Amino acid sequence: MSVVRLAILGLAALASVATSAPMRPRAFPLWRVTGAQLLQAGCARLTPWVSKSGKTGLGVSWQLDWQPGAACKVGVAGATLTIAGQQVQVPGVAELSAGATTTIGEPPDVVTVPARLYLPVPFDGEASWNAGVREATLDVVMTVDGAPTAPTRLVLRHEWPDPHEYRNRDERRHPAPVSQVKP
Amino acid sequence: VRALVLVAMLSTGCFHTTVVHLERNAPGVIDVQTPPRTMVTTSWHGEAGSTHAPSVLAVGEVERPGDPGERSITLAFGGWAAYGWDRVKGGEFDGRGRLGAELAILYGSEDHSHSADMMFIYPALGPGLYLGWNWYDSREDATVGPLYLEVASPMIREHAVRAAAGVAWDPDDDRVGPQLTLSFLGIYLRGSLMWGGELPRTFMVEWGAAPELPVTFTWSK
Repeated sequence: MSVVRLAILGLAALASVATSAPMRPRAFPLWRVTGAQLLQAGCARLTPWVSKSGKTGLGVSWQLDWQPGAACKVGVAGATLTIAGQQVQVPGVAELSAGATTTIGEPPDVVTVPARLYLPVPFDGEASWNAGVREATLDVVMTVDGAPTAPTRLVLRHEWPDPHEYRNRDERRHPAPVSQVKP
Repeated sequence: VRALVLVAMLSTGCFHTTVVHLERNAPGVIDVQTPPRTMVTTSWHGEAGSTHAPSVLAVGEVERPGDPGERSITLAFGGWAAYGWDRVKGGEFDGRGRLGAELAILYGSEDHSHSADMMFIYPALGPGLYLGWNWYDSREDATVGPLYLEVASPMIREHAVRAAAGVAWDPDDDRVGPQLTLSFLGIYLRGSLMWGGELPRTFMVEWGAAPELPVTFTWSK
């Protein structure tokens, strides 16, 4: 009987060794825009979001939905990032004209999407993360037909729901991580 | 019943690595000046992979950062059981069984994050230190065996083959000597030569198993 027990234990031990836990891809901390996000600037409705986030800063994108038949130009005059009591000045980006679209990719694989502005906000994102800084604000001055508008404040939060990226809701026991582009 | 309980326990992950992911350096790698690409797809490990037709980065989506890789420190504690032979100078080889305990600290560096998640015995395939103690010897004339300290280095990463060299020391008999260990996962072959004190020089070789319970702390590069 003891031989049978030993054999069972041996097989179980081998099975245990051969059975490794599922390997899940790494998830990263990401900055998010919190609170109200829609903004009207001239003839465009702007939807901002953080489209890049990492060690060297973050990038904010705006999608511009043009009012039909209207004519104006919308851009970013500049922005000020306030993080941990420090202020980082960010230069603006060129204006887009009403009806403009954004083209993505290179021929023959080209996709056209609604116009988008992208504002890079470089700073030491890794240092701020390691220092425990999770909040920041970005005061953005848009331009409409070359004239600056009143600053718009985006409240930003740095979030990392889980070190792992889960592939479906059944798999995770934690709140949904920030959406990331995956294969 | 006891066997079934033990089977259940073993099958649910005995000897499996416990991984603690630390927050340090957690953000990923980006080129902040470049607008988000939509998209060069990412591979399983999150590195740049094959190019597909572009797709649209939806409003609210974040481009997946690049994987900077990880570093890790593994602490492992466990026991070992061995059978081998020793030969006192001028004598014959004589069999003996030994039991002991071992504490290991290992450093790891991986290009791809979360590599340690799927390891079951030694997740950190880098250099490390082993501190061991032989507390039982089947030979009646043996005293409590030596302490040893080894410096280990991986030989073949993918197969967890490790070589370790160090010093064995028996404070009771005032004996000391070199020790070499070659291991594959938890199975090892060990040899040592000890001299000093009032006993003749002794050569020992043994093979054994050293199941250990590791805890790995990882942080991003």
